[in-house]
Amino acid sequence: MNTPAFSRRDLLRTVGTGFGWLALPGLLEADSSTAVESGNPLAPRPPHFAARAKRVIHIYLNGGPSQVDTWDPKPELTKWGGKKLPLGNLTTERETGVALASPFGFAQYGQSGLWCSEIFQKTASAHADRICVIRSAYANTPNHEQSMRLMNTGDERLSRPSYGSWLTYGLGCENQNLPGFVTMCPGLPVADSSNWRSAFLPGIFQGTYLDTRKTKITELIANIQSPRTSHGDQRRQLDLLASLNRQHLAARGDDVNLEARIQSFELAYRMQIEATDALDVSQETKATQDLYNVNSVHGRQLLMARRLVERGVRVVQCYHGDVQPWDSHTNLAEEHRRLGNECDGPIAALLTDLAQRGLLEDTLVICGGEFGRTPAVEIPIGGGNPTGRDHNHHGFSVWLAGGGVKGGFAYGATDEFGYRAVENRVHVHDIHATVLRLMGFDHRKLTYRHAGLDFRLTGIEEAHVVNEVLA
Amino acid sequence: MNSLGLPCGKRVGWLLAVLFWPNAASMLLAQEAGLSNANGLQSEFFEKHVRPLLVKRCYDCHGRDTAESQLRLDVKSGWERGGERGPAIVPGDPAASLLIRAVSYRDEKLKMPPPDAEGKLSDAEIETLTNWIRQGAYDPRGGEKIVTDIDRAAAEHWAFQPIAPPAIEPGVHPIDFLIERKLAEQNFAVTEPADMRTLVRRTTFDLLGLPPTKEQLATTREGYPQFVKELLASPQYGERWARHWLDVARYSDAKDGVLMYGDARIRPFAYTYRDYVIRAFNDDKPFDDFIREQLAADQLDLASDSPDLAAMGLLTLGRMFDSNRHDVIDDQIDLVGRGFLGLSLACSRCHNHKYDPIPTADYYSLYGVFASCVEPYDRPRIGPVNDAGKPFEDEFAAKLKEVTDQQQAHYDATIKTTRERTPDYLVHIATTEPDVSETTIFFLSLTPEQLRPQTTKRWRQVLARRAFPDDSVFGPWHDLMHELVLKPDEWKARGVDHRIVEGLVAAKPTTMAEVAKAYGMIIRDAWLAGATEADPLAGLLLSRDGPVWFPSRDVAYYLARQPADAYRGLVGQLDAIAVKHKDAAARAMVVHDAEVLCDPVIFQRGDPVARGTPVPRRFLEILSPADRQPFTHGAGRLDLANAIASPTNPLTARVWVNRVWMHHFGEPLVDNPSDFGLQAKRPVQLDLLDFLANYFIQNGWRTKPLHELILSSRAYQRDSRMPATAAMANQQRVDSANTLLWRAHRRRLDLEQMRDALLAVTGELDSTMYGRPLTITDESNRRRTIYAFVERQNIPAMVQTFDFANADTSTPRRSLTTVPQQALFALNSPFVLQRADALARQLAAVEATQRVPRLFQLVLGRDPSLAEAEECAQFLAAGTVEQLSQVLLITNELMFVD
Repeated sequence: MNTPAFSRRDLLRTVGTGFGWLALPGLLEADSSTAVESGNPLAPRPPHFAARAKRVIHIYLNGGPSQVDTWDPKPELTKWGGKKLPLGNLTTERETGVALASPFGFAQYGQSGLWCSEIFQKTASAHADRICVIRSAYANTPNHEQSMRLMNTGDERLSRPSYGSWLTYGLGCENQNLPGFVTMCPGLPVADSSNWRSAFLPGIFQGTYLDTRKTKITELIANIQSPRTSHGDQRRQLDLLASLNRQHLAARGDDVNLEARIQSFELAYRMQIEATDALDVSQETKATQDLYNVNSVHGRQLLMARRLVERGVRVVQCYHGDVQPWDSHTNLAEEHRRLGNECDGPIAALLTDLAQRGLLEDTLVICGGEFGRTPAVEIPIGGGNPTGRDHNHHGFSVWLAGGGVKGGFAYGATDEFGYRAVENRVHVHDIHATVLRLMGFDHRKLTYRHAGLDFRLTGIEEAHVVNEVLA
Repeated sequence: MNSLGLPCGKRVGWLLAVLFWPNAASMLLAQEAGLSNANGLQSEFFEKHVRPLLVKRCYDCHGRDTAESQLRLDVKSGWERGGERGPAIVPGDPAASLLIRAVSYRDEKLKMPPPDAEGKLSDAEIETLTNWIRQGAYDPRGGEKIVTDIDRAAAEHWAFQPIAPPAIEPGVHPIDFLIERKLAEQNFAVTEPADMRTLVRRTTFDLLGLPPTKEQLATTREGYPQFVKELLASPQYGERWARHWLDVARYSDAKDGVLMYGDARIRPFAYTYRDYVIRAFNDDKPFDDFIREQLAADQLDLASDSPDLAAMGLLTLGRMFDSNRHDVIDDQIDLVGRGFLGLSLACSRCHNHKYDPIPTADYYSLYGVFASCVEPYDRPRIGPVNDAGKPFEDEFAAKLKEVTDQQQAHYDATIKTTRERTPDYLVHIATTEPDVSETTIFFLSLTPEQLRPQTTKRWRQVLARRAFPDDSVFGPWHDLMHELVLKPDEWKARGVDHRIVEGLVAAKPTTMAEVAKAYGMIIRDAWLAGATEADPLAGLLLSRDGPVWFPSRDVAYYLARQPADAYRGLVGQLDAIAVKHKDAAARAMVVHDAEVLCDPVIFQRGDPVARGTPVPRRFLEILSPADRQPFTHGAGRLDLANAIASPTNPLTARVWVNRVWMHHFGEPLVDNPSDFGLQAKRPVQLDLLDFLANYFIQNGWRTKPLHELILSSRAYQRDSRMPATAAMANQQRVDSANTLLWRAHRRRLDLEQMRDALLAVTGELDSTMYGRPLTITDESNRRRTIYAFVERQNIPAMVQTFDFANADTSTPRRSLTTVPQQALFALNSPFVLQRADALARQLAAVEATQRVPRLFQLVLGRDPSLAEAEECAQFLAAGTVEQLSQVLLITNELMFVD
C-alpha cells in the first residue's frame, strides 16, 4: 500500500478498531488490506483460498435429536429392542437400560437412496440428493451446556469466540447495513449468549440475537427505529451533525477515527431501513410465505434467514426453540414426531427456495444438535415408565447441504446399534475445520493473538478437514 | 525363602521383591549381585538393563541433539526437567510417571516409542522401566543443567532484568528529559503545548472520566498543578480509575452457567469488591498493599469486619465454569499472572510454556495455592446492620444452619454408604476400564444406586500405586491379576496381611471379579470389626489419604440427581436471600485456607486424572532466587502476594506503571500491557518505564504521585493536532505509532465516559457513591456507569456495542470499534433522547436567541462559531429544540478528547 502519510501499522493502530484488530493482517496472510484500510471491521475480506460457500445457515435442533430416529437407521437396534445390548451401554449423563427400538419408520430417498426416518420425510423426499449426513459425529460430554458451547465455540467451558464470530472476523460482511452474524431463537437456548459470543474478538463480531417470539420487526433489533423521530426529521439532524462534524474535523487535519464515526451515521441511517426490510417476511409472495409456513416461528425464522443471507449476512443460526426442545428424555415417540412436524416442512422449504434462487450453490446449510441420544432407554431417576433416551455424545448425526458439499451421501458410521461413532469418526472440531475449509479458510491459520497465545476455533489438538464430504 | 528361591532377610527381601519380579533377566541379575549393597544393586540394574534400553529405544529422538518435545533421556537432568509436558519420571511412582504412561500405550495421544517406528516396547522392557522408577529411578548419569533456548532468551530478556532507573539531569522534568533525549537523536520536532481548554478537558476525562465544568475550564497554566491535585482529591477520581482495574480483574456482578437467570444470576455482594477498589484509588492505597489485600486479606490481621476484606473479591468473582474447579483455579492463575505480573501463566497448564520460562511445574505450584482455598458460605460482615437489615440476618442465619446441617447429614450418609460398598467398588475397577466420567464429574446425573465416579477414580489410584508384589495388602492382587493361583505360603512369607491371605483362601476366587469382591469384603469387614485408622485395611476406608474421604464441602458432587438438585438449591438460597433483602449489611467475598491443603502434582497435559510429579507450593522459578523455598504461610497466598509485591520483582511495578501510562496517553509503553514475557519486544522507552517504575516504588507504591508526575510533563500536555508541515508529515511516516511521544493522541470516549458525560452535560448526573448495582437500561438510573450491573450473559446491546471489557477474562485493553450500531444508539436510544429532552427543558426558560449559545456552552463548554450558530438557527426554523440538543450530544466534539 502507498498511503503517503500513514503506514499500514499506523492505520491498524488508529483506524476505528484499535487494539485487537492489529492481529488481522497476520491471520489473513493474503490480501486483507482493503478491508483494514477502510477502517471497518465488517468490510468484506477474501479468505485464505477460493471458498466453496460464502455464507452459512445453521438449523440448530437444540436439545439433541436422536440419530437412530432420524438419519441413522439401525435394524440391529430394532432386533434387540427390549433386551440388554450385547456390547453394554456407554456412560452418559443418566443411567440407561435395555435397547429402545426406534418407533419411526425409515425409508430410502432420492437417486442416492439416502436413508431417513419419517420425522424428516419432507426434507428427505425433496432434497435427499442434496444432503450429506455425517453419521459419525462425536463430542466430549453428554451435557447440554458443554456440548452447545463445543458445537458453537470449539470449547466446552472457557470463554472462546463462536464459529460465527470467527467467520465474520475472517470474512467481514457483504452488506454494510446489516450485522455479519445473526442468531435467532424463539427464547434462549441453553448456555444462551455464550453460544454466539465473540469472547476476546472485538464485540462487533458477536452474533446479533433476535428473539423471534417477538413478531414486530422494530422490537427485534435494539435501536433500529426511533420511537419518535421521522426519517425526514432524522435526515435533517444528520445533515446538521455532518456539518458540525466536518467543521470539527477541518480544524484537526485528517483523522481516520473522526472520519469513521462520521461515516457510521450514514451507515446507521441506511441500516434502519435495510435491516427492517430484511426481516420483513410480509414482502414475500404468498406462495413463498405458504411454502415456509410463515405463521410458524420455524418457517418465519428460516425465511428471515434466507432474506438475510441473500443480502450478504455471513452466518445465520436458527435455533429450534427455548432451552432444549429436542431433549426427549421421556415420550420420545410423541415428542420427536411433534418436533419434526414443526421444522421438517420449513427446512424442506428453505432448501427448495435456496436452490430455486441459485443461492444453495454458495450457501452452506448445517442441520443438527449438540449431540445425539442413546440407543438404550433412559431409566427415569425418580422412577416411572422408561420412554425416552438420554444424551449421547459418543455418536450422532449432523447433515450438511449446499455450497461445496457432496449430496446424497452418508459419511462415517456408528456401531450396529448407533451408540458410538466407530467408522471415520468426526469430532466437532473436525466439523469446524470442514466448515472453515468450505468457507475458504485453513483452520490452523485463522488465528487471533490473545493472552500470549494464538487462538483458533479448532483448539490445540489436531483437527481434520473431512475431505470426503467435499464435492 | 521366597518364590524366587532367594534368601530373604527383611530389608533385602523387600528390595529383591521390588526389583525382581517376575522377570527372568532380573532374577539372573539378582543372583549375580548376591547381597551387595542397595546402591550397588541399583547401579548394576541401571547399567545392565536400563541404560541399554534407553540407548537403544529412546536416545535417537531424545538425545542431546534431537531432544524432541524438548525432552532428553540421555542425562538424568533431562528427565528431571522433562520436556514440554513436564518431568518425565516421578521417582518411586511409575503410575505417575509420564515415561511409563507413554511406553505402556495407555494414552491414545501419547505413545512412545511411536507405533510407526520400531513400535511398542516389549512387556519385559516396560517392566524393567517400571521397576527402575519404582525403586527410585537411580541414575548415575547426572548431567549438566538443561538450558533451553527459552532459558537463554530469558536470561537476556529486558523485563526479567532488575529495574534500572536512568540518570536524570537535575532541574529538568525527568519524563521530558528522557523523551526529548530520544527526540533530539532523531531530530524530531514536537507539537505545540495544547491550549488550556484542551488540556483541562483532557485532564478531567483522564482523571475523573467526566467533562470539565465551566469553572474548571477557566484554569490557567499556572493553576494547572493545583487543579490536578484537586482532581486527584475528588471522589470521582476513584470512580474512574477503579474501572480500569476492574477490567483487569474481570469484574462482574453476575454468575454464569446453568439456570443462572433472573435473581439466581446475581452475586449479591460482588459490589463490595467494586467499592473496595474505588476506595483504594481514592485513598491512594499503596499498590503493594492493594496486591496483598486482594490475594490474602484474611491473613493480614485486619479487623474481622474490615471493609478491606472485600479485596478478595478478586479471587471469587470469576466465572463458575459449570462448577469445574480446575477451570476456576486456572482463571485465578491467569488473572494473577497477566494482571499483576504481565505473564501468561495459564499457558503452562498442559505443557511447559511455548515462549516463556514458565515450566508446567510452576503452574501447579500456584494451582496448589488456589486449590487450597475455599469460599465460606458465611461471609464476614463488613458493614453495620441497621434496622432494615435485621430481617436478612435472621433469615440468613436460619438458612445457613439448614445448609450446614444438610451438608453434614449428606456427608455422613455418603461416607457410610461408600465404606459399605467397598466390594462393589473393587469389583467395578477390576472389571472395567477407567471412564471419562471419573474425572469430569460435574455433569453427571447419578441415580442413588450408581457408584460414585470420583471414589472409583481414587480406588483406581490406590491400586495403580500399590498393586505390586511387595505390597502387604495388594501384593496378592497383583499376582492374581497375572495368574489366578492362590499362593498363601508365598504371600505369608512376603509379609502380606494375614487377613488378606486367609480371606482369599476362604473365598476361593475363580475370576478377577471374585478376587476383587473378596478383597472388598475383607477390607470392609476390618472396618466393621472396629479397627482404627492405623490398621492397614480399615485405614483405607478411614484415613484422609484413602479413597473414601473427601472434603465435606464437595458433598453435592456425590449425591444422586434429585438430592443434589435440592441441596444445591438450598445453598443457592443463601445468595437469593441476600438478593431479596436490599438492606442487608455488606459482606465480603473472601476465601479462607481449606481444612486440608492441596499438595499439588503436575497434571500431565492438564488432565487431572494423569497425576504426575508432586511440586511444592512456591513462587515462579524465573522470579525467584536460586534457593527457591516453598511457601510457608498456610496455602501460601500471602507468600505469593509478597513475592509479587516485592520491590525486587522486576515485573509488578513495571506492569502497573505501564497501565497507568496507557490510560493517560492512549498507548502503552509496552505494547501488550498484560504480556511482558519473551514475546514482548524491548520497549523503545524502556528507560522511561524503568524511571517510572522506580519512582513509583520510591513513592511508596502510590499512584497519585505518579499521575502528578506524568501530568506535569510537557509530553502529556502536547497538542494532538499536527501542523501541516513537511517535517511533521515525515515524522508521521517514520514514527506513525508515535513511540517517541512527540504529540498527544486523540481518543474517543469509552462507554463509561460517554454515558457519564451525557448525564453530566445535561446536569442530571447523580453523584451518589457505592452500593448495590443498578440496571444500566433503567431509565431512572442517572448514576455513574461504574455502578451499573455488570452482566456476564445477555449483555445489554449498549454495553456490547461500545466495546465494554469482556467480564469473562482479564482485559488488558478494550478493543475500539466504530460501527453503525453505535450510531443507532445515538440516534434512537431512549437514553440519548431523554438527555436531549433534559437539555430542552433547561433551554425552555432561556430567551429564544440565546438558546443556541447556551446549548453550546452546556454541551461543549464554548460559544458557537458564527457559521454554527447560523446553521443551528436554520435547523430550529423547522426542527425542535429536542432534536437540536440531540445533535449536539452526539457530535464528534463531545465524543472525542483532543
